[in-house]
Amino acid sequence: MKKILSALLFLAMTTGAMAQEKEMNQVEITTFRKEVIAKTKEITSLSTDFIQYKHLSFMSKDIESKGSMLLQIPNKLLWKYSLPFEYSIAFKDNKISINDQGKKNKVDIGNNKKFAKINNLIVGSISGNMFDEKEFKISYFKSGKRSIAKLIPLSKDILQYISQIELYFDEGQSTVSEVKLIEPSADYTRIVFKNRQTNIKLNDSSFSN
Amino acid sequence: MIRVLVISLCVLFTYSCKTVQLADLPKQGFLPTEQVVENSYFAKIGEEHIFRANITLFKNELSGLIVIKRIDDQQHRVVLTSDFGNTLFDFSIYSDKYAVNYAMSDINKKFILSILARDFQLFTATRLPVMKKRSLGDEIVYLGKYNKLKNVVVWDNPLARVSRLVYGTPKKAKAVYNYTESEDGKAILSIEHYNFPMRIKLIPLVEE
Repeated sequence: MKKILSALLFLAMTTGAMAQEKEMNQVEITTFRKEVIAKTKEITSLSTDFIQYKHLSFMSKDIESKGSMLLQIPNKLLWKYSLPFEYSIAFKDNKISINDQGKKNKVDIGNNKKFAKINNLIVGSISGNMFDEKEFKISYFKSGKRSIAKLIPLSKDILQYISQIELYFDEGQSTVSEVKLIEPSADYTRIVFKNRQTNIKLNDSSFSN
Repeated sequence: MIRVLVISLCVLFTYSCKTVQLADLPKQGFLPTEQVVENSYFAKIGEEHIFRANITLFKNELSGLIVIKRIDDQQHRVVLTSDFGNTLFDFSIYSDKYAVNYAMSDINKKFILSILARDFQLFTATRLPVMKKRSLGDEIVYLGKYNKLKNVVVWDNPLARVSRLVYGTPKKAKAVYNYTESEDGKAILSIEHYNFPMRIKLIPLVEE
């Protein structure tokens, strides 16, 4: 009896897992990509709150940080952490400025390709426009009303830091609702976006740090 | 930023033989003893410590989070992440060895990892064998050896715990690990090298 019960439980669990995430077929992929790319094109600015969860396998719970983010397409970005400490980082005019609890620092990134790549990666992850087959091997999944794009970087440079990026899109939303950055060790950072607003007016001073 | 840190660490080799004499520690008058001093800060198995970390190396600064957990009798896990969350290094620290679970390619150089690992070996040490001691006001100063590394243990009598651990001797100090400092009214911990300009300031994060 016990064996039958565990077999049933196992079956229920595996079918459950399968029902949770289902790979998209070619038609679904084409439609999904078209939709995201079209919607992303319409975005000129974005404002959102976020909760960041850092998962370390040996810790009993994830480390949580909270804050807000502003983005002006194509190249202005402000990440502002408010909890557990105040810290903000702004990317603007090829410069990174950091404000660490009132202590300010500026870095000129000039033509630094690595920083440019990081910037593109962040802007791309948030806006959802990351479907560059030259940069990533991409697979697509559906889970309930959510669409998921899983990107494996092709560049060895990036693979040293990130083994996979997962982008979660809620139905009817034009921007990602969640990003998961998985590291080579399988530890990951999950960023959940809330209160998203697109195409709002942002002044240049909003990105002053 | 990381590249600048690496270059700085290369430069530090020219400094690394330097030691300093610590004015506030006695140089003589020690009596022989044979005991083990318990350092309680990272001693509790399973306890998770999360710190906001400010690392200053020469004139460069890097901030992030440092997580320290005593996994079992033998091992402490020490992880540094950036503010964005990505792991910069992940060590398993034992008293006589260390294992690198992950190190970002820019700092994945043996001499950098061994400096960091030695720092955290001493910083997280829970049992410190000592051979000499001397009382000094509210403190007891012990001279000991941990995993072949000479050190000075400073015990704070009123607090009844280790307040500082010095790597080296009172005459030839190489680094200091502070457990009971405060800055701007907040309790902090710190790791500071005397032979090259590197300081790690650790502010404990209070859980919400």
